[in-house]
Amino acid sequence: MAAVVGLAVLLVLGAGEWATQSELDNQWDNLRRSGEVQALALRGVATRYSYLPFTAAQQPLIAELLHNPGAQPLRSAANAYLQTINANAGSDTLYVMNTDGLTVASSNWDTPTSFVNQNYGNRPYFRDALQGQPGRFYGVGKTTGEPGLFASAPVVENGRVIGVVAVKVWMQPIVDTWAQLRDPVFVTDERGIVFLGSVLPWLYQTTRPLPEQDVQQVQFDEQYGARWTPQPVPWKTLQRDGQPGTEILVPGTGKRYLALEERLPDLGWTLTLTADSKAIALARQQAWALASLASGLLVLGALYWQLRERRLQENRQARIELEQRVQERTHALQQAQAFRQSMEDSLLVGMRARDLEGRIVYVNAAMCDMVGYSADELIGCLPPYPYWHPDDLDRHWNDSDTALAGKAAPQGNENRLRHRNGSDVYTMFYTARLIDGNGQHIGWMSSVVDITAQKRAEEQQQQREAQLQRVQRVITVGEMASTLAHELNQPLAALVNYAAAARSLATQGKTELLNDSLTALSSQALRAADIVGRIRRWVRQHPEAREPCDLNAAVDQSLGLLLRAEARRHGVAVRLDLAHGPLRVNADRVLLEQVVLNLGLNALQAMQAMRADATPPEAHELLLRTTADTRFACLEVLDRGPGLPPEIAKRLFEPFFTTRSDGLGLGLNICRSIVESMGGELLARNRDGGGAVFEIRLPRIFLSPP
Amino acid sequence: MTDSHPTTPVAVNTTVSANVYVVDDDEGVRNSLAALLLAGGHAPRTFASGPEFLARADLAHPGCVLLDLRMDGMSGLQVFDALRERNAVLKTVFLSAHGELASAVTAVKQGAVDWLEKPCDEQTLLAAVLRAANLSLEDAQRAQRRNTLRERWNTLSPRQQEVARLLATGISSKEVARALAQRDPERPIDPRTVDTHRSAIFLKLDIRSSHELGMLVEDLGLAENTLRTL
Repeated sequence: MAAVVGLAVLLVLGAGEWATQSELDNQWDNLRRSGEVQALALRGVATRYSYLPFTAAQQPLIAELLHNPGAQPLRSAANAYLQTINANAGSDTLYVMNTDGLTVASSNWDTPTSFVNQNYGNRPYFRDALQGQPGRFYGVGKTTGEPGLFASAPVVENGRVIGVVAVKVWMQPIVDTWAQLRDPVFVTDERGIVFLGSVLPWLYQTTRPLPEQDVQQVQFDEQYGARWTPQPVPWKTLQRDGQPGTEILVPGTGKRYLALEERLPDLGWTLTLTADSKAIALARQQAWALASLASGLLVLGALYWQLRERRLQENRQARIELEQRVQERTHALQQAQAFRQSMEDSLLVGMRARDLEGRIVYVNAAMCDMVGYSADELIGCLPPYPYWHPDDLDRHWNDSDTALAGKAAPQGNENRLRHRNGSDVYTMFYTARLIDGNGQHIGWMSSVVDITAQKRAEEQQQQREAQLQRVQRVITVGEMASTLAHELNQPLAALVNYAAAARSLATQGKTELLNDSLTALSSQALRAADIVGRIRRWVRQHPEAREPCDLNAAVDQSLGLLLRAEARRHGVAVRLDLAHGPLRVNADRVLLEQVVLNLGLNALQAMQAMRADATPPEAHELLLRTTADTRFACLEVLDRGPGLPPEIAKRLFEPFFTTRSDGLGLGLNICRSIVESMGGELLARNRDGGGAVFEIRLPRIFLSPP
Repeated sequence: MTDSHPTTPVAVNTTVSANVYVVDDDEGVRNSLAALLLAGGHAPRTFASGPEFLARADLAHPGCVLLDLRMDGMSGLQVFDALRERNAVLKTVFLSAHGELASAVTAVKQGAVDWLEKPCDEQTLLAAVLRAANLSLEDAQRAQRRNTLRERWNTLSPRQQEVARLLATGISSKEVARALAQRDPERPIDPRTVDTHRSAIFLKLDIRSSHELGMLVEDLGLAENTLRTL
């Protein structure tokens, strides 16, 4: 950075220097060109009239006048002549002097500042001309006090100088043109005295020290006025190497100028043109400014570049780190993936993921084994899936739709699947939402547990239970044998009566009554058959079939089966308090009746024990009450027996626990398992006022929305 | 038992027929019994329950009721008890199922005419019904005769009743007079007066001998026991 700043500083300085040099060169060039022009102009002005004295000197009238200076007509003629020529040439004054330097005729003879009779013998141009040389001299007029250029020529007659003709040229016009220039211009004579220039105060000051004789000479010549004394110019001159000119420093104003000298050797003059070095400073400053700007930009650029580099470096570093991290992460992921793969492969639980439409997106090995299809065959499948059991399609559709609707039962769904080899697979499906890394719900993940073995065991258990239940039913019928006999006896007795009546009526020839009797006889025979049929159906082994049943109807059926007859045999009245309307529960009809019948029978037997006591007759009543709340249908079997002492209540539902000498002790135990298998419960408690209450509670089902 | 008093002068309306009732809560059994009885020449009335029967049957009229032992609500035995409480002349034949022997025996001990086990033989049934009906009729006749005698007895003056009760014990007029004097010394009675009373008594009671008087007094339950002990 320091290098950049250094470079920038160098650049600024260099630019300044370069700009200075360039501007300097430019200025010098300008000065040179300008100097050439001004020198040409100056020389033009200075030499334009030098022919005029010479020409006038050739005029015989002049020679004649010089010969006869007192001749007035000659003098007048000469004056007129000079005046005419002077006017035509445009010079200032044209005049003739005799060899003494006395003016004998002049173009301004008629002006107050007439040169006539003035002596200019001390003037160098006179002396030069007197020597036969053309003279040239710049000085302040002795008569007029006005500066001018004096040029002279001798009037030669027969090889001898008889007089001098001189012209004074007014230099002011060129000075005026200089004044229009911006910077000072001045001309010095061979002694270094400024005699022409755009800056008036500098006039007649010396640019270099004058030797004493020169001072005396100038004073003698009255070149710059009678009162001239040498006085140095107020500036200092600096000469620089490699510069075509000098530099001028004006202390009072603080101004600096470039100064270029253009020598006019034929005139002995030196023209000095100046240019304000402010332009150079300005150029330098501009260059500096520009360069500073550029440097600033450069520095900024450098800074930017540096920042950019640093950032790039950082980025590069970050990228490297990122790559490293990605690599580590990838490795970790691979590890996790391998771990997961091993886990999935080792799982005995099948896993199946589905998207929101139910398309299978993933299955694990266990799932494939379970159904006999490869992952490739399963992935992409939409319901119905190939492993759905053809006999359970409705149920599969229902479960699938429920799961996709997010309403899968948290305790899982049991499904029967069909293995590719045709065997049945019993499974439990547990479904949960599948959430991706962004927390987006993208589908459903199900775990699938093969419960076939468990199912088989359950089936066997169920079969055993069913057998036990059947045995219990047979036993129950056995316990009610005398009631059954009575129930059968009634229609048989009626049948016998009708038969006897019929015989008698036939003898008597009462055909109409005979007919009636025979009809009644048939119905009694059917009634007996019906009782036998009902008992047979009841004790028969049958596959458990759950269906919606009415609890009230089960009570009626049980009563109709044997319970009412049994109660009658016990001398116990049966009172019903049934809920209004059907109470639908999902149950096996026969098993439900078995429970009701057993509970009723137990109640009757409990009351049997109380028969001996002198209880009021209304106490001998079996009350069957059904009630319902929003979720459960209840049946209460209420007796007025001895109730349930704590030690009995505790063991009530134990298998083989009985208080009766002839009981097997299976009734309540089986009742409870039946009720529980239907998703309900069997409760026992003491009844207010004596006796016991057995209550079954079964979940209600509603065929149509309630 | 009509033969035990063949010479009774009391008029009995033998043309009155016995009513037959069937009480059984089993409709089949009830109707079949009714059919059988109808074919046997009876005109049975049937009831499905004891209370219904007790409320609507004519309990004072002689007849027979076939009563099922085992019924919902009021059992056969309870109906039977109710009939006895009300002094019904109806005779009861119980119908029982197999195995209810004990109850049946109890019932018969308490005065039921018979018990039949279902299903039962037509002849047995009809015989039992007939027997019960006749018994009921006899009971009714006996009751009627006793009512007549009671009315006649009530026409006797208290002294005559006193004399009659003593004469019924088989003692002579003298002994009667002495007994009366002994019972009430302030009112001595002459044996001839006793004879006069005796004639009036025989006339009013429509009897001819002291033996008859004795039986009548016995029937009315007015026997003079105290004297025997003396």
